[in-house]
Amino acid sequence: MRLQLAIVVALTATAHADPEGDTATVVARTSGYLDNDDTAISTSTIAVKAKPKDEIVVSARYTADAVSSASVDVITAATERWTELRSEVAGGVAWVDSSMQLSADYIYSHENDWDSHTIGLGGSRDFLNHNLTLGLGAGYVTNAVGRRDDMTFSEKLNAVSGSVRAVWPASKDDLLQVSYDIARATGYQASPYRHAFARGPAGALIAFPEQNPELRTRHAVTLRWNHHLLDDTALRSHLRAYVDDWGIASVTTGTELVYGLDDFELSGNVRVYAQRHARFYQDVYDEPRVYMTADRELSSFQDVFAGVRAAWVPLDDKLSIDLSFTGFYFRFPEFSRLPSRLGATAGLGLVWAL
Amino acid sequence: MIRLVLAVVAVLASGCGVKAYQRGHLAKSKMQFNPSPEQNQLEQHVYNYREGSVGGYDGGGGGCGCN
Amino acid sequence: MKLAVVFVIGAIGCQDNLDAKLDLAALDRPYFDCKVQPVLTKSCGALACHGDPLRFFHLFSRNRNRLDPDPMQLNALMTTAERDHNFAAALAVIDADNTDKSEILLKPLAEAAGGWYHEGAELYKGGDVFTAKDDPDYQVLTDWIGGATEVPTCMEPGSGLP
Repeated sequence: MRLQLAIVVALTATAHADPEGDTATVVARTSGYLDNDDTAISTSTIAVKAKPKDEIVVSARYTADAVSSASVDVITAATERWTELRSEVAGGVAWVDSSMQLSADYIYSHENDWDSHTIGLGGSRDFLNHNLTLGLGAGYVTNAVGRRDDMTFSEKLNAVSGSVRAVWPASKDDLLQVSYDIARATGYQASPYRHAFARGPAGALIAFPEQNPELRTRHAVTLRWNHHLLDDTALRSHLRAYVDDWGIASVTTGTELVYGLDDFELSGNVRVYAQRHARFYQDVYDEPRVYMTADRELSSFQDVFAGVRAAWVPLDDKLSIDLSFTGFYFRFPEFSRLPSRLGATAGLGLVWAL
Repeated sequence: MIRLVLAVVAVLASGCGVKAYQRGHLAKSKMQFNPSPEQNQLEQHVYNYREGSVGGYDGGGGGCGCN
Repeated sequence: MKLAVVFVIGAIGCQDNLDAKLDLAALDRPYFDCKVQPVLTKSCGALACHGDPLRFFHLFSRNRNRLDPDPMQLNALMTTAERDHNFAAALAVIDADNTDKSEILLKPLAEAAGGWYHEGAELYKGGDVFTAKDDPDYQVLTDWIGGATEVPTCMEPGSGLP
């Protein structure tokens, strides 16, 4: 298999290791999410990639999420469990040759209170006899934000993003990637369903509509290292540092051990995340502020994900069936309404190369 | 920082990089950074909307009112 | 580690004024106690509505939601603390910079009259609180938000206070 160090911004990027057909590849995946905050999500996706010509790859994908939640956010509002369906369609085209790749993608997603259009452009080129791949990516997304059953509520949220990446082999057994991502969002970034709380004069809580800054600039630097060991085993590790101008800083790290045994592939992974709160975040505000949020994902918290995956790849890499299971635990020391969250995801995937 | 980048490039350009015939292991599927884009998209979607950070791992899909 | 985080955040920078205090609308308290509180008690404070402490906007009223859970105090006169809470809760849903667009005005107003969607209008099939802007109780709210004042000693009728 030709070594491909293409930069993935567009979904048509071919640096993937699912079975790849000479003519087309079909991918079908379904996954479930369940947590003890009374939220369940079922996601299914089907994607097709085709090569109408040698250097051209076209792709299309459809994804559907079904969400059912009686989360602490909903209970606080004294409303009942809500359910929602989100649909996403995506299409892309890529031009790939031995040392260069260009790609473009479009994604449209729809929920009853959200519409989104995303475009992405990407390119990469190999240098130094394929010992260095540099890639650039850019994206733009525009969102129309609504509120369930409320035709009078309408806001906008737009974001522009960019990335630069470098990939190189550090040795015959090691691949390294370093990347920098920047994103800038402008518009409505609060939730129309949440209210933040301040302590009132009688000691009872006073609720204020959530209000977040309308501008957010986000930066991430990521290092990834894949190390080959034994006959057919890889250790894939990553480390990301993130900061933004709301004051959030985080570290993400993890590793995955992938073991190949004939037609089977077994892997175990662990991922740890720790975040420092946004500067304007308080669980209960000491006094009314211009920016007040009830979003626990803007508080200081930690989480850990750990999972296993098994894949069967018979028929000379033309078919792949995989199963995965991941458990997770969140700890929210600054969010009194949900001090922790425990849950799991499970997934089933089928990839058929034609 | 620029000196570091130039140093890395100089090392790679000097021929100390990996030769083509040495890349057998690197070409294996499990050595790819994004071996399964659709699986990665589903995973990153969970992370992006359960955490306060984004970026660095590709995927994630389109916009979402998932928060 | 903390030093590194501080350095990086300092280099990238947080936005200014993330800790800015919110200036609430400077509205007349006696007018609220005398004129607005009765409207809230009558039209909003039912236990199934905003007398429910689980609701984001919740109020204290006689014979409904009380600060003191003792059932013997259910019909007692409203306390100063309860009035203070209701006043603060009302100010929290007033946009000081754009008072015409305040939640306290537009939520209970029928959509056909220019109001916002109000779940309460559907939950109990009774329609919205105010069907038109010329409703006398709606006028009380708009007058208050518009800066109306009252004599300092005026209190809610039947409150037993001077």
